[in-house]
Amino acid sequence: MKRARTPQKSHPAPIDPSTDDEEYTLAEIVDDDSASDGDTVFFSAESDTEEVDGINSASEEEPAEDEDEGDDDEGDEDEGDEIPEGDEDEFSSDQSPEEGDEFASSGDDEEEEEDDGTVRVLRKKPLPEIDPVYDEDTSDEETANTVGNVPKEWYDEFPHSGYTVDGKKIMKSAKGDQLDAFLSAMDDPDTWRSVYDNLEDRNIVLTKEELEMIKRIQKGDFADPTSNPYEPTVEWFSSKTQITPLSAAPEPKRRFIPSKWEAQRIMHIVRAIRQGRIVPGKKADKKKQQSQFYSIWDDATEPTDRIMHIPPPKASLPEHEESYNPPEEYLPTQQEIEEWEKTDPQDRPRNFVPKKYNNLRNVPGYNRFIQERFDRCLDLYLCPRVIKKKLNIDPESLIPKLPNPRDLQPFPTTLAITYKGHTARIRSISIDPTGQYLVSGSDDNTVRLWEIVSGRCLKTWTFDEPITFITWNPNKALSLIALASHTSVYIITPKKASPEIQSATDALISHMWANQTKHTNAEWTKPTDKHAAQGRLVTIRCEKNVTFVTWHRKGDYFATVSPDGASKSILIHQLSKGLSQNPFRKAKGLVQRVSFHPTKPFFFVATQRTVRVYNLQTQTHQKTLQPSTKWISSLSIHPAGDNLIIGTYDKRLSWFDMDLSSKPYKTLRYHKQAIRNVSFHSRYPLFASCGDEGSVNIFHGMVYNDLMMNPLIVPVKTLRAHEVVDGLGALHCEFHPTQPWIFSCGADATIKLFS
Amino acid sequence: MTTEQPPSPATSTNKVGDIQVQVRFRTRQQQHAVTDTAILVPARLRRYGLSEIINHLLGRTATDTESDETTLKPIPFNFLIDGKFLQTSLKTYLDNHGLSTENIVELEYVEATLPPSPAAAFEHDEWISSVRGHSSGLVLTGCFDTLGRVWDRSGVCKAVLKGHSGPIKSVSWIPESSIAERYRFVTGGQDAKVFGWEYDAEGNKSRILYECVGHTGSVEGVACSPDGKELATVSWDGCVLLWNTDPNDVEEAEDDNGGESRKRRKLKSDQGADSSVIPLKRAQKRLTGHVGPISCVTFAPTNSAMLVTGGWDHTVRAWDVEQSTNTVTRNCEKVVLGMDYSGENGLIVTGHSDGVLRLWDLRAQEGQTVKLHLSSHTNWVSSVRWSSTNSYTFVSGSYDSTIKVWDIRSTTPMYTLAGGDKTKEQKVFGVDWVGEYIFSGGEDALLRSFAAKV
Repeated sequence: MKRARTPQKSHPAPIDPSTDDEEYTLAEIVDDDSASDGDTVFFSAESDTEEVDGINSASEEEPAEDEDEGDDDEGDEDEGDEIPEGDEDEFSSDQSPEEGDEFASSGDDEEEEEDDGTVRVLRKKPLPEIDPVYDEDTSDEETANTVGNVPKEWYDEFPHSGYTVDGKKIMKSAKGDQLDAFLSAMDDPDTWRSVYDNLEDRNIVLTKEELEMIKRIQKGDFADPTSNPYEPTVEWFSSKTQITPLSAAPEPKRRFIPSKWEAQRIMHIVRAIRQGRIVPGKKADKKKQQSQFYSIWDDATEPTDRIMHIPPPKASLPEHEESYNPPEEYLPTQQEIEEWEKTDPQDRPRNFVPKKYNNLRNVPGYNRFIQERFDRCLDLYLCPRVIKKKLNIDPESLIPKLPNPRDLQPFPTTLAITYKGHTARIRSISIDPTGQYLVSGSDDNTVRLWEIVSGRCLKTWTFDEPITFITWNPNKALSLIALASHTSVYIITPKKASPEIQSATDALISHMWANQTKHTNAEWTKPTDKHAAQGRLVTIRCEKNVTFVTWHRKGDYFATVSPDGASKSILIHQLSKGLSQNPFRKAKGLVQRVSFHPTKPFFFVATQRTVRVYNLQTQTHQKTLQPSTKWISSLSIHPAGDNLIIGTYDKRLSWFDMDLSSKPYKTLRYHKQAIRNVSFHSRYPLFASCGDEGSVNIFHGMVYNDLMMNPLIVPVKTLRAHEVVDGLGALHCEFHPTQPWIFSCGADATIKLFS
Repeated sequence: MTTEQPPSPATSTNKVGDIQVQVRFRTRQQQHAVTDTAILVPARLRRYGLSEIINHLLGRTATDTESDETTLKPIPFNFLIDGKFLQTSLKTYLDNHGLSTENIVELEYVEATLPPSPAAAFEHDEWISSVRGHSSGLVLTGCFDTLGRVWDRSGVCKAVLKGHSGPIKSVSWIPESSIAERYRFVTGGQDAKVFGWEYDAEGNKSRILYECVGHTGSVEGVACSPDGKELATVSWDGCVLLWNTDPNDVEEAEDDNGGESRKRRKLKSDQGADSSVIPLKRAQKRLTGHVGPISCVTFAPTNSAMLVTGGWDHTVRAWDVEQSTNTVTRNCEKVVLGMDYSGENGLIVTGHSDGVLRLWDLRAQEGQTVKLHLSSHTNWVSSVRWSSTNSYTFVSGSYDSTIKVWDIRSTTPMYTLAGGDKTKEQKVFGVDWVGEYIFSGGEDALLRSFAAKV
């Protein structure tokens, strides 16, 4: 309604019901109009549109149709005519407006159109909608079939074809046979344009317009003959100032206030110019422009393992004898031709006989062309075809099948006890062979004795120098600890053992003092009384710094290592006699660790690069193991004696099967930093390594009695044990002798027990 | 026993859509018994809702503001379904166990216990390794400073026991041996010695009755038989020694055939406060079988001839004391650190180095070795003790500085008490539960006591 109103206001419309009221509605207009004469307004309006349309689309019929619709609305009841004729329409068009009530409703439509028409000067005359069904329905309402969208076949067996609004059956019309149909068709002039309506059960005669529409649709045109897809555009809004503009609204404010966004944008550029990011007037960089486009083939950096391009050999220039018109001297004589023919085709110096032609057009076609093509095809056909086999192996299948770590329990998993008390980094720990006590040697010059199960520090010994290594005597009948500090090796007793063991220990030491004869390689001294009261038994002075001490399994011999001691770098001491021997005249390298074999009289010496195995009984060199690493840090021998592991400062752990080879059976790289110590468990199939990143790695290392089976190595756990202090993490790790627990000590001055 | 008629199912006013379950309430506490008929209750109810129903049935509806003498105050109840505590709503329980809501649910209810409240903390000089309470109110502690102490409830240290030369690892009262304010007890220490003591409450004096000689390793556990006549000690050397507790059945020091040790002992007794020579006692029996250190020992409270030990060889062994035979051996994969035998239900609870509590029924035949695993502790469990008043509850102390109170009808601990400063990783070494008090001692050097009414 609003749409209808606005044009009226902007344009002096013919209908002006003397009011400017905004709330004026169409209904009121209609009421007013119907109350008054009714011919004043709408007729003029209609005539207007007709004129316009006449100018525009120049179709005579359309106004007629316009009225036709109006006519159908009103007057169908009177006439009951099913085939409206064009002429009749024109008649009724003039008369129809006279009918008051109906006119009001139709005037509704007309008014709108009229309004539109007046505004849009070039608008085509809109056509009334053709609605044949509606037409037919209104013409015989009482028989309207309300059966709905139901397949008509359902009513094939019934006498009726549907139902009226009231629910009464609509009987089918009587149908004659083919002859009747033909006769009636002959009688009826409209047969050619009638269509049978299945629903209503009767023929419908199509109007002229409907036929026209069908034709147009068949042609592929618009169904509506008046529609023009190429209407000229109308410039509603243009640069020209209209006298009567489409909208009288004042200019919006934003037209004359400066744009904020633009200001921002400008400021952005200004700032860039100030900062020098944009230099005004400078031309765009040439290089940049060049780099915009590049040849994708130009720098094929992809390395090729084969020659990509082999230029073909240059064809030699044709010689004289190859000419079609060679000089006489190049032409072969008859004898030469015979000779050529006699020779085997493979041995002929050339595969043609020079011939002379007077001109090029006399040269015949190549007579061997077919033969050569055939030979070539035969070659290709017979050439051997090698099928290149592609390796198609699932990489997953190459990974060795390892058991699930969960099935390999027990192994240490969780932190149980932290032993606190030391104030500097702890270099070494050792657990007594019964598993009750733990000793630790630290850089704070102290040795502490701990009870494992409670985490209680029971005793502290103070020395003059940092403790570099400490180890408990493996003999359960003795209670002795050997420790290395600076150039000295001390033997101490914790005095925690039972009286029997303690007395045996004391007896051994006193016996040693009694039997001792001379100092050869190291100086054995008795401690002062004060120190003796604390438990110190022996002090052995070596020439150089001692870094490592290890006991023989029986607890009488022990070996010490001073890496920079040259020929005296390895000393083997005998406690019961107070003797020190130097078994090696010459050092074969920087000695790192030594070890006694757990069952046989073998002695392992780990230098920087290799591990040498000596037989102590025969005093011969047995074997050299080559781990191919740069610097060995530690060594541990499997309790069965046939396998050993070494840890290296270059982060590797190597497992040697000594029956297998002098090369490592497995090399494991699980550490990110240097490995400080490796250790086997004496009972469980476990081994561990600790490194400078502060972690302890636990591995399952099963050695089978069956010689044919290789050891099974499975990494099972990484324990984040110690904090890294000054680049040092876990410095030593050792297993509990009876339980699957591991102790580790580190640069953070703590000892930790994982159970 | 004033029970009113329960609301009939028809008249129960519950929200539409609630699933209702028929419940029959039972109790063994006859003073709280209610009607035996099944009652329709909403399935969404949890412990509190059910407890309200019981209190309603009992007529215990008094609120705090009411001071009416006739109406009683409500009592909190716990509910057991199939022998386990109901910890969820009825609906969740039935859903989880795939039970129908159509059937009648049997609910047993017991009076809920209050959480133990810290009662006192008595300071020691050093870590406490072992704690034992006495029904008279005295508490015996063994300490890492080689001293034993006897405390009374008011926090007065009644006696300081000097004798050991190493940390005391285990203490035990000798039951039924106290004649009129004279209490006897034994202590075992890391110095491989076991001392029998007597504390005279009247004169407030303590003296060493005898020293038990025989162990060669740290004495890790001592236990007395319920009749107070037998004493069993276990040691790091892997053997169990049995002694009688009779103070008169001792050898004179002169009879000792080890000349050197006698000399030492004389020397020591000269230095000691007790100038007289300490009588020695020899072991009556030696039980060997453990392949490794033994950490704990306990007598069967109902049977003085049955002894149970647990050790580092991952075994729990039962021994017949009279015949000196190992009757039952049960194996688990972890070191046994603490154990206790309940006389009322015959179950043994053990604490292990994996933080798991295991319940054993040694009467059961082979097959199911461990009856129940209870895990909540995050570190080694050092000691466990059954409640002396309730056959379902026990207390455990762990290296994770907590003490947990358990009910074997529930798989989660009932209460968790602080046994030390968790940030300092202070370990708990000993717990005991006597009457209404839980005692604990550990690395924080405090004898803590908690009032626990169960």
